[in-house]
Amino acid sequence: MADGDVILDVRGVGHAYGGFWAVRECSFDVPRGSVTGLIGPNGAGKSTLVEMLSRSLEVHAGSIVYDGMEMQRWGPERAARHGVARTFQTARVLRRTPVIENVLIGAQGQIGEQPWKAIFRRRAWAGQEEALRREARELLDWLGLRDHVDAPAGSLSGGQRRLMEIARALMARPKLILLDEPTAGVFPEMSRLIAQRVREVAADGVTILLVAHNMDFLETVADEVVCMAQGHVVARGTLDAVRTNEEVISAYLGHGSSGARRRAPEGV
Amino acid sequence: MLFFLTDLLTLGCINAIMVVSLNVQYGFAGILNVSQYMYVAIGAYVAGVTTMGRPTVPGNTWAPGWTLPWYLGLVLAGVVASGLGVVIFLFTVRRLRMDYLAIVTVASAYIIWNLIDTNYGLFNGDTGIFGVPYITGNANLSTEQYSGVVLAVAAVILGLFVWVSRRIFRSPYGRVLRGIREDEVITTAFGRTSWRAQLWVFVIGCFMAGVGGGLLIFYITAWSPAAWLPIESFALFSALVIGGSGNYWGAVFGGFLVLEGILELVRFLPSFGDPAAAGAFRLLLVGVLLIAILRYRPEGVIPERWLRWYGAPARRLWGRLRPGVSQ
Ligand SMILES: Nc1ncnc2c1ncn2[C@@H]1O[C@H](COP(=O)(O)OP(=O)(O)O)[C@@H](O)[C@H]1O
Ligand SMILES: [Mg+2]
Repeated sequence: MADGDVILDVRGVGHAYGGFWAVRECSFDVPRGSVTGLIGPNGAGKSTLVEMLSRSLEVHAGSIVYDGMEMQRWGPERAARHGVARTFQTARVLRRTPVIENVLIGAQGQIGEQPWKAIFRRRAWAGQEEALRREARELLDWLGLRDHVDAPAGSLSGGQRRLMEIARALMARPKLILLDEPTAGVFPEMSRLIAQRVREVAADGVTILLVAHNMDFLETVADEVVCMAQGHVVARGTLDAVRTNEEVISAYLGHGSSGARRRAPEGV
Repeated sequence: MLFFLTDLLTLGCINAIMVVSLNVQYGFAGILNVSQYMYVAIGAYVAGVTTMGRPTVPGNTWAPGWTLPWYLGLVLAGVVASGLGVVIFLFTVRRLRMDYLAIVTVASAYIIWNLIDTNYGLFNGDTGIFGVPYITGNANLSTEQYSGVVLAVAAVILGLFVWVSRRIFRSPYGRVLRGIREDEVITTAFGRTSWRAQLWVFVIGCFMAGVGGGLLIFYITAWSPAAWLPIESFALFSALVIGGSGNYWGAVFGGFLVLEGILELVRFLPSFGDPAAAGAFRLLLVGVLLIAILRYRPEGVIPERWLRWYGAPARRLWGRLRPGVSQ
């Protein structure tokens, strides 16, 4: 990792729902191989931003440079093929499908997805399929889902689904992983497991951008945090620096936004 | 009695081929094609006009009137049906959300039905094409014997199509199709372009339907617009849902029991002196059965998940019998 090597450069990005700019003139960058936390009160626009970065939402203003390429006009398929993997704010799984098959959806470049080969040339893909299955099993094992490999994903708890989503994202061998609230509604022990695994993934050189509210979690995983409020980036730096930043405190306490329900993170 | 049996099985096989063809589209990939019988019809016409020569009865016209061997006619039936499928797919499925697709496929079927019904140059308009020779050429066969011949051919083709379905189901391709069917947002977020994956399975389904239509015309030797009213697609769909959408054995079951079985059953019902009553009874029974299944067994008689129940233990056993090969 070269110093100052940036994998993601967000430049003045904006998105409007109807006439309401949920994200506006938002700029920051993400160093390659880092874990960056995205924090901010509810409604700050974090999920909207993540959706734009995964290319599921249109970018109405500004540009996003990912790995040297302008990606603001890509579709989500293209982003995925260039190594962007994600989880969803509310976990999305194929509920009736076994966990391992769900995870295998994450794997890119599968030979057996070509119709002709799928039907007539089983030998061309059987080896790869077996290797991918083994890899998926190892990942699930590593994430504590060993006993659920063949269970339908609908039978998993909320926390287990998030772990499964992480396994699915890792199957894509991504360069950048976007995690939207990976610890929301997750038991503390599982939260700690997620934190540990996120660090290990980052140690392998994968860049991670994650939305979180839990300060303990962020303290363990995040190299730096970006704080958003009302669609803007209000602060950027280490967690300790940001949590004492006055603009951040006032954003969480809801100065000037009467009536809006704002959730303060623990420890602020 | 023997003829009754071979006739039943032959038509059962042909119906099963049609339901299997719909299963790869709707069952595997969730493509809401409610005009599948149109592809059957196109296949029937193409197989007819490419093998039966020019019309000999004055006042009838069809093109091109080739005299290809029957198997080439059958292949052409599949190719032309899937060619039409590609065109309609690229105009509709690619651009529309699945819920609108149903409407567009119905509309396209009505347009093509009317074009063929009123245009006498191509397939002889509303009179239709008739006098298709037996696939055995001029060998002297009784109806019973011919029924046995077609049964053998249809059974082999049905077996082939079930095998293809099974291969798709168990491949990564089948996995992605199921993913698209269940939640397109996930597959898209992981790099799959839905329409690209669905295009091929749609084409395969149309090909199978066309071949099914070709077999049908070789068996019943005539074809006309009255034989493929849009309601037939509804019967196919019902057969698939009742049999078990997503499971190729469910599709086979639906073809045999729902389509063919009910048709035979209706023969034994009183017709109240009205020849149209049998047809109406048939659709009525299909409709009632469909409602009952959706209410009490929404996954169909043979649900998709049975494929996994049977598949996994068998594979494990196989792995144990052959050391060194894990599942
Ligand atoms: N689909 C939508 N339509 C309209 N407004 C939306 C939609 N999604 C989010 N918003 C609004 O955009 C703002 C930012 O939402 P979001 O990105 O979900 O915030 P966060 O993830 O930071 O809590 C909120 O005010 C929210 O009400
Ligand atoms: Mg959010």
